Amino acid sequence: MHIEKIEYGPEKEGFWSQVAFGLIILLTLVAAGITGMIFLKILSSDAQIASTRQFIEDVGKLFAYLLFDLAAIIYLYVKGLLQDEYVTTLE
Amino acid sequence: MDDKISFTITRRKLTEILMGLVALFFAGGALASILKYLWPATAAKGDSVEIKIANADEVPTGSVRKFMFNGKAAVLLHMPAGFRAFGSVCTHLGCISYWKEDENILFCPCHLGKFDPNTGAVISGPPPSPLPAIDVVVKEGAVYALKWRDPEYVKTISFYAGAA
Repeated sequence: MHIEKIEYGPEKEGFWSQVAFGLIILLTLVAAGITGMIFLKILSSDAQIASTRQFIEDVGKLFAYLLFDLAAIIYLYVKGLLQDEYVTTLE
Repeated sequence: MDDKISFTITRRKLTEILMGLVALFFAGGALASILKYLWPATAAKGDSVEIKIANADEVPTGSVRKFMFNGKAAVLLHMPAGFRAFGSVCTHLGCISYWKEDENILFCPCHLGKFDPNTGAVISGPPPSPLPAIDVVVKEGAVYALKWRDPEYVKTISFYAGAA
């Protein structure tokens, strides 16, 4: 029998981890803002406007920004904030 | 006696909570969009809704503008006699008819149905009945769709179910 148990140690400390944490907060607010813009646009637009190429392009761009924003958050979360993983294998 | 209540939250936990809130926000928006799609807000049946189609100068004589009316494809035509608007869903099998300028007709490409651009009447082809007319008005330089001219007729066309 092979069981892997992953445990986390203490969080990273120091200046750069604080910067990463601040950026994560900022980018999370940006993500919430972009999400709000996307759905406000979708929900408030008339069918006539919502079927135009311009509208679809605008929404597509917002989704792309959101994707990059989330990718940046995940990168900062993993690289800037988390500690190294400790993997304990039990047999 | 120590009556202080204290708790600590790590940055990691806070980040996870914030991301969870954004995910919830996103899911809520997606759900609202789906609900809006399934149950679109419509005016009471037969009411005048005044949907702006275009500015009048954007549709010169001899040109057309597509638009949606009560969830159905429609077309605005600027004929020499004035503006005309019709549901463009063909009454035969529900294809979308379009303006064929060289023949001066509304044309359904599926089975070659032809409609009069002034009245919506069938000129030739298999369509069993005319395209339903939409009342339009020109106001302050813009063209507005008001209502189906004959809502009772629209109710009889299966491809216009729910539109009147």
